[in-house]
Amino acid sequence: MTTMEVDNADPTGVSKDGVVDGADAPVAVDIETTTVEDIKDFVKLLERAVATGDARLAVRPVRGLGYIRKNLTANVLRRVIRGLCLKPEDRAYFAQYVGDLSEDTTKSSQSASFKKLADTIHKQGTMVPEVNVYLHLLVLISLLDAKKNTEAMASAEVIVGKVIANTRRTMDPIGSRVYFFYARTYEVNGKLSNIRRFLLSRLRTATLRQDEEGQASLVNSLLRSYIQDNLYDQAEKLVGKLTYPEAVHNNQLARFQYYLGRIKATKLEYSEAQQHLLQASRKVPSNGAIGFKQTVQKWLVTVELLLGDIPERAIFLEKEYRECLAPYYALTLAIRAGKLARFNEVLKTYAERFKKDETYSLIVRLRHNVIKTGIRTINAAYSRISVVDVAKKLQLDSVEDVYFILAKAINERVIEAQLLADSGTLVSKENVNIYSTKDPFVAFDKRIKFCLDTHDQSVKAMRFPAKSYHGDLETAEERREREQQEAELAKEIADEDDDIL
Amino acid sequence: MAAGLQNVMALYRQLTEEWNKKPMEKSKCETLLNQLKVALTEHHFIPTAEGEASKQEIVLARDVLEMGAQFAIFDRDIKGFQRHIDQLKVYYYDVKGGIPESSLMNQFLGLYLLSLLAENRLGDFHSEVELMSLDTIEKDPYLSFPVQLERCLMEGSYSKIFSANKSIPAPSYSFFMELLAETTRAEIAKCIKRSCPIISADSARRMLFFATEPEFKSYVDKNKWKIGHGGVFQFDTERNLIQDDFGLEADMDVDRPQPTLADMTALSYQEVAETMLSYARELEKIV
Repeated sequence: MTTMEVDNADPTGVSKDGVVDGADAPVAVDIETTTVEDIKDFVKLLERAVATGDARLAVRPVRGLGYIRKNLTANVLRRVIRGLCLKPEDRAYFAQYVGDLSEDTTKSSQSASFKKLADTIHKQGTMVPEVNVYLHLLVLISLLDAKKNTEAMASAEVIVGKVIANTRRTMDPIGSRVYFFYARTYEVNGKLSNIRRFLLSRLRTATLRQDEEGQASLVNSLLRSYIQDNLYDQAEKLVGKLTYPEAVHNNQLARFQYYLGRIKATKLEYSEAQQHLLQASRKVPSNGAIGFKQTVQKWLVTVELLLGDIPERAIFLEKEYRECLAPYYALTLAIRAGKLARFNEVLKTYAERFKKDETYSLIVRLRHNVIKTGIRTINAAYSRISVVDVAKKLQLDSVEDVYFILAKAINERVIEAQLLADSGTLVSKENVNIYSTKDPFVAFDKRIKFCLDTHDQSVKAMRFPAKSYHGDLETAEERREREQQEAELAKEIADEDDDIL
Repeated sequence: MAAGLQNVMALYRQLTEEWNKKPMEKSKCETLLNQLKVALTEHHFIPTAEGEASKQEIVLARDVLEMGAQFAIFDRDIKGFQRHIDQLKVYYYDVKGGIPESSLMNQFLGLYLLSLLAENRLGDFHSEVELMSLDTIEKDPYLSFPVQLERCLMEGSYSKIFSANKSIPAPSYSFFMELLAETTRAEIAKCIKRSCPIISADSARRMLFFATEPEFKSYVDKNKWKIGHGGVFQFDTERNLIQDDFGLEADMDVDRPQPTLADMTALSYQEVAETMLSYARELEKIV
C-alpha cells in the first residue's frame, strides 16, 4: 500500500528497498512520519508504564501493533531505531536485520524530540527492557511480513530470551504478543511441534504470575499446535486442566472458542461445539478477519448439520461467505432432501475442498443424518406406514436394518412414533401441544439467563481510575485531552483486526 | 550396559518360545513378561528427550510391548490391553528415527479402535481416527474394519455388526467382537423398550440376535423383562423415553413407588419458585 503510493508520487524518489528522499514524496512521508510518531507515542507510554509500574498502560502500545503493522516499512524501522538506540551494540544488533543505520536523513526538529525520548528510555544507562523488546518485536513482525523466515527464527529466539530474563509485570502485555509471534515464526517454518515443551513451561510460569494475556496467548498457540497434528486427545486434556482467563482481548477469546469448538466437534459433543463456535463468531471483530470468520462459519454449518439442524439460508447468501460456503450449501440441500445418492455425489465432488478445510472427517459422519431427515419427513407425512415401504423410500437395501434404524430414531427422539415390530408398521404419535410441557419454560429461562450474564460481564469489564474519587475534579482542558485519548483508543480497537490468523 | 541388553534379549527369546508353544503356559508367560518389563526400565523403555536410545533398544521395547498387548487379549484384560497400546503409541507415532515400522502396527491400532467401540467410547474413537490419514484407513483392512463398523453403529444398521463376525481381518479381533456384540445388544434392548409398545417373544429374540431360546431366556430374565399374556412383552414406551432424563434406572425395583408420567413432565412448584427468586436477585443487583 505504502510503496504503491510512493511510486505514483515520484518514481525517481524511490530506491529499490523503498527509501524515500523526504521532500519529493510528501504523501508517502506523511504516512511514514505518522507511523514513526505513533511508535514514538507508544514507546513513551511504555516508558511511563515502567516508571509508574502500571502494567495497564503497556496494553495500548500492544493493541496498537495491529495497525502499525499495516504501515511498517524498513524505512520506518530504520528511523525509529536510529532515533532511539543510543548504545552502539543495540544499533549493531538491529542493523543486521534492517540494514545500514549510519546515514542520517531525519529532520532536525524530529531529532530533538527523538533525543529527549531516547534520553528518557536510557535513564538507567541501558535501554528500558520493555522498549527494547517492543522494538525487537516490530523488527520480527517486519521480517515475518517480508517472508524472511529463517532470519525471523533467529530474531524470535533472541526476543523470547529477553522476555524470559525479565520478571517485571510491565513486560506481560508485550510478552503475550511475543509468544504469539514466536509460535507463528515456528509455524511458518513448519516446526511448531518442536516448541510445545517450551510453551508449556512458559504457560506454567504465566499462570503462577497471573499473567492473563500471556496465558491466553500461550494456550492458543499450544492448542493450535496440537490441532495441527490432530492430537485432539492432548488438546482436550490441556483444556480440561486449565481455567482460561476471561478478561483478555476478544481476539484471543475468539481463537480459543474456535479451538474448543473443533475439539468438541471431534469428540462428538456437537451442541457444546456449536456453543463455542457461535461464541467465536460473535467475539470476532466486525470488520476484517475474513479468513477466520469464513473458517468458523464452515465449522459452524457442519456442526449444525451434525446436530440435525438445517442452517439458515441467509448465511449462504452473504457476500463474504457465498463463495467459500458453496460446497456446504450443496451438502445442506442434499441433507434437507434426505436423499442418500445426492449426498454421496456431493461428497465425491467436493471431497478435496472438504479435506482442505479439515472438515472431511466430520462430513463423513453426516451420512446417518441424511437418513434421519428422511425418516423425519416420512413420519410427518404418514400416520401409519409399513417398514418395507420405508426401506424403499430411503433407498436402503436391508429391510431388517430399517427396523433398527427406526427404533434408534425413536430412541434418540428424532421422531415421535411407535414401532409395531410384529406387524412391521411404523405408527406416528399425535403431535403433542408443546405449551403443555415445560419446554417453553426452559427455553425462556435460557434466554433470560443469557441476558443477565451479558449484563454481568459488561459490568465486570468496566474500569475505573484508581483513587480518582478524592482527587480534584478535572479541568475542561484535561477533560478534552482525556476524551481525545479515548476517541483514539476507540479507533484503534476498531482498527485492530488483522492479527487474527 | 551392553551385557544388560544381552540379558534382556535372551529373556525375550525365551518368552517368544514359551508363547509359541502349544499349549502355552499362561503363568510362565506372565512372569517372563513382567521380568522383561522390569529389566527394560534400566534401558530406554519409554523414550524421552534426554538421552539417545539405540535403535536396538527401541525395537526391543516395542516388541515386548506388542507381546504384552497380545497377552492381554489372550487374558481377556481390556484395560491391560489399552494400557499397552497407550505405551505403544509412543513408538508408533513419535519415535520414528530410522527404525522399521512394526508389521503389527495397523493390526494393533485397529484392535484398539475396536476396543474403544466395544466400550462405547465414541469420542475417543474419533480422536484416534483423526490421527490416521484417510488413505491409510481406506487401504488397510485392519483399520477400515472398525471404521466401517462405527458407521453402521451410528446409522443403526445393527445386523451388519453381527454379520461382520464372519469377516474379521485377524483372529485376535474376535474377542473384541464379542464385547461389541454385547454392547450392541444392550443398545438394541434399550431401543426396543423405548419404541415398541408390544412385541412378541419371537420378534424380540430375532431383534436381539439370539440364535437359541435358552440364551434369550436367560438374557430376558437378567434384564427383568416380564412376559405377558400370549407370549408378548409390553413396554411403557412413553415412560421409558423420559426416564433417562430423570436419571432413573430403567430396570428399577417395581416395589418402590414410581413417579407417574404426569409427575415427570409437569413443572414442579419448587422449580418455578427457585427460578423466579434467582431472577429477583439478579434484578436487584441491576437496580
